Amino acid sequence: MIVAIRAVILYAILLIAMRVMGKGDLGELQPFDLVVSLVLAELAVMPMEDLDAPLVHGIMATAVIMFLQCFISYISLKSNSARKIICGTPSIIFDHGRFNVKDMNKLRINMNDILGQMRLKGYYTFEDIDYLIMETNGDVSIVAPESKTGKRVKRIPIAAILDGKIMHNNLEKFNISKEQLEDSLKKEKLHYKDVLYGFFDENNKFVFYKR
Amino acid sequence: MRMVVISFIILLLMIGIWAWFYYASVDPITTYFWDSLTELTDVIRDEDWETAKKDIALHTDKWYEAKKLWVFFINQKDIDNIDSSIRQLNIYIENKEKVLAQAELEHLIVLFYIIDENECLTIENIF
Repeated sequence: MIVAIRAVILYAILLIAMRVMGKGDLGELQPFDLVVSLVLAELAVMPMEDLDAPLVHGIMATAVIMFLQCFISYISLKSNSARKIICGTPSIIFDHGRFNVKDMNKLRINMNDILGQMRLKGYYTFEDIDYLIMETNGDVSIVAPESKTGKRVKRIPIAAILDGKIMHNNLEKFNISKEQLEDSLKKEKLHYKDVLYGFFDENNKFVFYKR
Repeated sequence: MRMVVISFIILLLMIGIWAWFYYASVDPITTYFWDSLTELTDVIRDEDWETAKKDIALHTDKWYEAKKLWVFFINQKDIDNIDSSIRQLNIYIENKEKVLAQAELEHLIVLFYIIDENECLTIENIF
């Protein structure tokens, strides 16, 4: 009976903790989300099983994890550098017939994994796809020619501004000059801080969404 | 940002409760028992059994009073150990068993020492 009551209390506490941590954490599984899920599960089971351990110990540990999770989520939302450290960055594994073997080795994925992911998404040959991108949550995105027109995607959109911050790394990587971005912003009479998401499309046209 | 603040407030509240428990209950009560049980050692050594009976009755009441709060924070096994040790000490004193009472008294002092050590914020406890 005591176990049942303790289980109800811990369930309520975990439910509150998960609600405070937010929906985003439930939907996608970033590396630190996985850690939190594993730790929370363990924290809930220990005081439930061990009747000698006070419930307060479990509640205290849950409060700490909840705060850390909220704090890390907030930091990764506000800072690109922190986001890179905590979540990593997406890697382009396949780009118009060329494989990025260096990133494949770094991510420890082999051709079997890639082919499996392709099949799961309904693609069976590399000729059907333009880009294959490994996302930070371990999922694979495939950019393929538009099904209706059969038009090939020349280049994926290059994020130039994210959350009002210029993505210098992306500009450098895809040979887009800062002047080009500044000109585009000037044309639209915009400051980069007012842009929530701005990118250069495959025709190098600057497309943006204001805050 | 709101959730960070809410979770931080919850965390502060929990730390505050723990700090209050340690500084308002564990620290003064363990100090009280160290001092009073050390005094009781002298009383038993002198075989003043009437004083020993009065003292242990007083300490037993004090322990049951402290226990009401401690059960929420301290491991149940540690509390049971103290309960059992106090009960044995009462019996030894009632039966005027000098050696056994002295040994149990030392055991009880160590049990309170362990609780204080376990609850104290030290590097050793963290690792």
